[in-house]
Amino acid sequence: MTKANRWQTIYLAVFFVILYLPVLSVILYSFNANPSTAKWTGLTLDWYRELFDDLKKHQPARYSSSAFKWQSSLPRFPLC
Amino acid sequence: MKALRQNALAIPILIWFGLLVGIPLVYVVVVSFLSRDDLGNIVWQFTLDNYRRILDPVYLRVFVNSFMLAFLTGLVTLLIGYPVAYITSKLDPKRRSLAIGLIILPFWISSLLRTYGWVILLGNWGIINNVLMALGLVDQPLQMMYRFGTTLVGTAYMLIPFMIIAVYNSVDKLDKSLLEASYDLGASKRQTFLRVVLPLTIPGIAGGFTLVFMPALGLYFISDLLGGGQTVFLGNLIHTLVNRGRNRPLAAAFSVGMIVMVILVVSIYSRLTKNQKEGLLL
Repeated sequence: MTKANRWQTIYLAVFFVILYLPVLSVILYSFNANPSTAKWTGLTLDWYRELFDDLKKHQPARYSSSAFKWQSSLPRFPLC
Repeated sequence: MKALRQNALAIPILIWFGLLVGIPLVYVVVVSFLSRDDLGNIVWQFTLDNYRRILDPVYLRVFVNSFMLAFLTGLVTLLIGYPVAYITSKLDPKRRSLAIGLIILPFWISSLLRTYGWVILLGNWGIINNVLMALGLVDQPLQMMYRFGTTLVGTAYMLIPFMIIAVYNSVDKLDKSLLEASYDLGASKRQTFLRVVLPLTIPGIAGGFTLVFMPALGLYFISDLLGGGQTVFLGNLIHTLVNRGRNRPLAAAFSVGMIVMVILVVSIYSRLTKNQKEGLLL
């Protein structure tokens, strides 16, 4: 590997780290015991438990997946 | 008759565009010339008042803000994205498709969620500040949120794949024998890049810039979440006028102003790529 090639690989690696950093931090904070994103108070699976424990809470997910399926972005507002 | 038969396949898509793009556009232009009553309902009464109001210095400032944001987003994504596209195109096929996949993959994740990711990273008690303070580099958390720069980071982050893919297509199509010719004639690597590669990829750069500029002008949730409303952009203003201000005619006038800005950029783009056969748009 030539010197120029090494720098190129490093550049690409840094770019991908930054590209995925926000996504990874959202995933990390989904295990945060504190409901606020401003504070880290230890690990928890509470949010995942809450996500799966109530049938009503599945509704948004169902709407999202059917919207994804049918691309049903019909206008929801009357014209005037 | 022959021409009609040849173009018959294009008719469904034309109807589709006519209905779903053309009619709403015409509707926006028509509404921008109408007035409203005290309750915010649209009244069929011709007026130029909406256009007079958007020329108010306070509102012109919003146009300048949005233009600056979109222009700088284009510039930042170009400076960061060009090397990425260039390096990617030189990788071996297996790694190249991996890199392209990694560039496109974030599109599969909600953009709202990725913006929240930046909130978590940049907040006063966010990850970056915590790391900096743990390392002892700063004593107090850095104020990184709710600035113009924060919105710029978020917008550039959201739109950089468009730039990379546009430039990548252009770099990838580059005739490699031209590079060899350049080296044979004694040009250095730098000279080859500046005199051969860069001029030949201008269509890609212009295409990427246009693809980034247009959405950057209108995105409003990024400046809401990351900019905290410190700087008002066109998207935010239109959103507020429709939902809170109940002033749809004025919002429509702003939209027309935004469309004019986009048309300006697209016309510069088509002028830049006039001599090229391949075009991303138009």
